[in-house]
Parts: sequence; structure tokens; C-alpha cells
Amino acid sequence: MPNLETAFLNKTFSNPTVLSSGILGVYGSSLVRVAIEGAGAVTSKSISLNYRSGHPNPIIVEFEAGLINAVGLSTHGIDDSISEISYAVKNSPSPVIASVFADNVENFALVSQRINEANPDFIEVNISCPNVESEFGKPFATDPKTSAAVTSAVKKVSKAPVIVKLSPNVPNIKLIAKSVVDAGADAICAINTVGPGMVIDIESAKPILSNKVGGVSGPAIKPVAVRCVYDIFSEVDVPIIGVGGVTNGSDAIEMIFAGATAVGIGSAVHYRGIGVFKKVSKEIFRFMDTHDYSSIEEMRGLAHE
Amino acid sequence: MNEGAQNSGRLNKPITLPIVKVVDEAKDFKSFYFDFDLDAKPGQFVTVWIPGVNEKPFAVSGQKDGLFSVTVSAVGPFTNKMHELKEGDKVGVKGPYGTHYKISGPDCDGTGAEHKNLVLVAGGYGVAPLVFLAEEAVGKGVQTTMIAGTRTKELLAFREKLESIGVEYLAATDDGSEGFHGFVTDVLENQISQGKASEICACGPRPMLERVGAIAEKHNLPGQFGLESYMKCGFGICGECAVDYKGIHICKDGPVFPLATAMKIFRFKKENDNFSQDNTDDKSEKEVF
Repeated sequence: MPNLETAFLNKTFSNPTVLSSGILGVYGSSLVRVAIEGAGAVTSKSISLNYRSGHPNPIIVEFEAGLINAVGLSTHGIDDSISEISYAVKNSPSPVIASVFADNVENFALVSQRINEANPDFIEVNISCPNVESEFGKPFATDPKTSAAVTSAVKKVSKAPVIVKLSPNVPNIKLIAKSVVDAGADAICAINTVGPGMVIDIESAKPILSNKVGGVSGPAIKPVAVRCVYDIFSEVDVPIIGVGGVTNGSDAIEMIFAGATAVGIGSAVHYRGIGVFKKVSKEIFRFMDTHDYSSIEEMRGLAHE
Repeated sequence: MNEGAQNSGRLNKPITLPIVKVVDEAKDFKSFYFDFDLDAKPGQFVTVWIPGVNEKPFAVSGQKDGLFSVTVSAVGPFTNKMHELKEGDKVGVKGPYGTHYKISGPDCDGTGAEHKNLVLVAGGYGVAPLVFLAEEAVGKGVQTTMIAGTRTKELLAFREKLESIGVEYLAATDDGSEGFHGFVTDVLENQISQGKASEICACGPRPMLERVGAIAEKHNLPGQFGLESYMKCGFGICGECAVDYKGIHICKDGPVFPLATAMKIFRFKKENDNFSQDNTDDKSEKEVF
């Protein structure tokens, strides 16, 4: 019988599905609920040192093949975030990944050091949010040197293993992957949203998002995500959380064949509800059963052979 | 594909609609009508987008003859802007979203109760979704009473409309300028003691809802409660409106909850002092379901 258990660094997930950062992850209670609903691991919304209000509404809009969002990294600040993550760590049946971001290398270290207080199972370093360029300059993830600097700064202070989340919006993702792994990254999460993109309301002749542009997610970006995971797997030897447009079991299998150890799910919470983790797990199970695979591990990276 | 979506199969993208009618309901309280087949149920909400300003959630206050309305109080930057809009002006609308009040079927609230005397308890601008509910209840032959409470008489709304369709309308004002001098909860207790309440549907400020909930529990009456929250996305993915230890999201799991769930939410105590759920930005912009 197929076994969905997934070894990821020092933990074992009950199945390969992971709640991606930015969906339902503001409060500890939501993270716990998603874990109870079947996610193998859950990731918080990105946390920063200081309170940020984010952008006014609309912050998200749907198009024919996905979603475009520009929440603007709204966060409640480090103290509240520590409480929420602590609550999740204490109550979640699945491992908890705390996502962090900052405006410079020093603050990445500071926020990571503080988040130790909440004892998350992993820390995910968000160097790839595409929505805040005007304030922070280019995302860290577009430059191998900056990506490495952030990674080693976080690695120095974090008690938990470090996952670095990469951007697809680069000419060669292998270069970035190699630089963060050389700098000490224990794992990679790929990809963050694509773009940015824009949706214009043709009646008012105005972009719908208050930020005008936003990161593109959902089924539209799946081929980009699969290619990125494939590239990263061919370049480095750390586990990968493959994220981007995964909506059903077939999508998840594709990610695993490309080289993913675990599979992130975000926008699909919209398409299939909070039960999407259980549904995708069941679909993976059925595929494995009919194709005679017994473990996730034996499927990993098969597309490379 | 959209198993989790609640948007009648439409994309979660604003549809531009002209305002076809604006009606003054009370002081700083206006209804905006749209010519669109929304197919909403009482208690559900839409989001209204004013390009360049913001987007906020509002309860549907009526739906009839191909029109639907939202009724909005001017309480902050967005709603003040909305009150400047005139017939012919366009806004972007998404929805309907969320759960709704249920008043038909043999076991519609899970208690098996029949709906002989439906009592609607409205606090302030919380009257909006209950007007829609009253119209539906009357249409189904349910005897309906509206207990509407406001600070003062200028804020009372919808009396004529409700009385014209046969709803008993009982006002309560804080200053006694109209109706009962006191709280809606006093009027509710009185209705219950006269045997004129078999079910309660309420919408209004949280303290009022908590007291109404306690009364419903005491008298063992079924109830449904419309809650409100600060919201971002409005359709269940951003996680900003989670309200309790179960990760219940007001926008999608609510805004209308049965009595038992509502009481659990009301009684939720913070795990620790920092476990805060409401320190979001524009708190001044208190919108109404």
C-alpha cells in the first residue's frame, strides 16, 4: 500500500502537502485548523519586525487561470507574530514553518533571532516577495550575492533549519539556488509568485489592485514552477518544497517527478476549499496505488532519469 | 473547478455596476440600489470597490425585481466617499459571499423548530441584512417582528417598509426619543415573556449580540447571529478575519453563525495577552453587516 509519509530534513510529514505562506496563515488558530484539515506542514504568513498595514483593498483579484495579489506584506509585528506562531507550534498536529522577511540583511537576522522564541519547526526566509519593490528596491532573490548574505545571516542565528524561498523572476534560478545552498540553506522553497502582473477593469479603465500590480499565482504559473523545481533539483542537493499552481494530485505528482520533496498549496485553497490538502493527498495516494509506487521518495526526481 | 468558491461560478473580480437609485433611510444611512441578478440570500454580503479609494464588505439589504441593495452608514473615509455617489455613478461589486440566515425547511437550524414567531433583533446599522431577511420570512408566511435599537430616533430606519409588508416593528432608543426607552434586549425579554418569540435572528454590535445570545440560551430558543469583522480578501484565503481558537473565518465560515457557534466565538478567551486578533489598520472604518 502506498505510504504518503514524507521525510523532510529532521521531520516527517504525514503527507507531502504544505500550506504555502500568505494563505490563511495570519493567525495561529488558522494554521492549526489547516493542519487538522490535513496539511502535512503549515507555513505562516511572512513575519517582519514591525507592524505594517499593507495595501488598501482590493489586495487580490481573480483572473481566468489564477489569482493576482498585492497584500503588501501586512504584518502585526514581531511580538504578536511570536504569540501566533507559539500557539500554532503548541497546537498543530503538523510541523510549523515560520516565514520571515525584512528590509535588509541585519533585520533578517533580527527577525529570525526573535522568532526562535516561538520554536517553529522550520524558518522560511522570504527573499522573493515581488510586491514591495518600490520600498525595498529589487527583491533580494534576484541577486545571488544578496541571497547568500541573507541566508548566512539567518543561518547564523536560527535554531530551526532554514528554508529559503526563491523567486521565479530571474534569468537563471540555478545560480540563486547554488548561492543560497553554499551559504548554508538547509532546504529551498520554490517558487514565489510570478510577475508582477496586472488586471485592468475595462469599465473604469483602472488597474483593480490598489497596488496596481501583484504577484501571479494559481494554475497559470504551474509550468514555470515545475521547470524551476526541475532546475533546482538538477543543481543542488537539498530538499525542495515545490510550490506554484498545484491544485490536484496530478499537479503534485508532477512537482515530485520534477524533484520536489514536499508540495506547497496556496491558491488552490480558493478553488477547492480548506479540504484541499486531504483531497490532494487522496489523489496522490490513488495515483501511487494505480502506478505501483509505494513511497513519495521513490517518485522524487523521476523526470530527470 | 471552484469547489471552494461561493461566488456563483463568477470570477472573484469586481463587476462594474451603475447605482440606479439612492434612498435616504435615516440620518447618514443610505441604500444604494443596483440592477443586477445577484442571487444572494439574507445575511450574505458583497464587496463594493470604489476605484482609487478602497473596497469594503456590506450586507445585502434587499433583493427584489432584479435589483439588489446595500445600506451603508457614513462612518469613515470609504463610506463618506460612498455617500457622495449619485444615481448613474459606477462601483465594482463582488459576491455574494458568506453564509446566510435560514428560515425555511423542517430542520433549518438543526433544532427541528418551526418558525412561528421569528424575532429579528437589530442593533444600529445591523438592521440592513435583517430587512432583507424580514422580506423573505414574510414571503414564506412566517410571522415576523423586528426589534430595532438605535441611539436616537433619527437613526431608526425601515419602519414604513417593514410595517407595509406586515412586520411588527418595535423600536428601542437609548434616549427614549422613540419607542422603548432602553435596550433591544429589554424589548426582546418582554416578547419572550409574552410567548411571542420562537426563534431569534440578530445583527449588530458585538456586546448586543452577546447579550441577545445569552437571552436565547436562557430561554432555550434557537438563534442565528450575523457577525462582522475587519476583512481583506472577503473570500476565505487571506486569513485576516479568523476569530477564535478554531480558526473560524468570518468571511467564509460566517458571517451568519448558529447560536452555539456564535456563543463559542463570544466566549473565546485569549490564550495569552498577546494573542490579539484585531490590531489591524483602519479600525475607525467600522463597516456593518
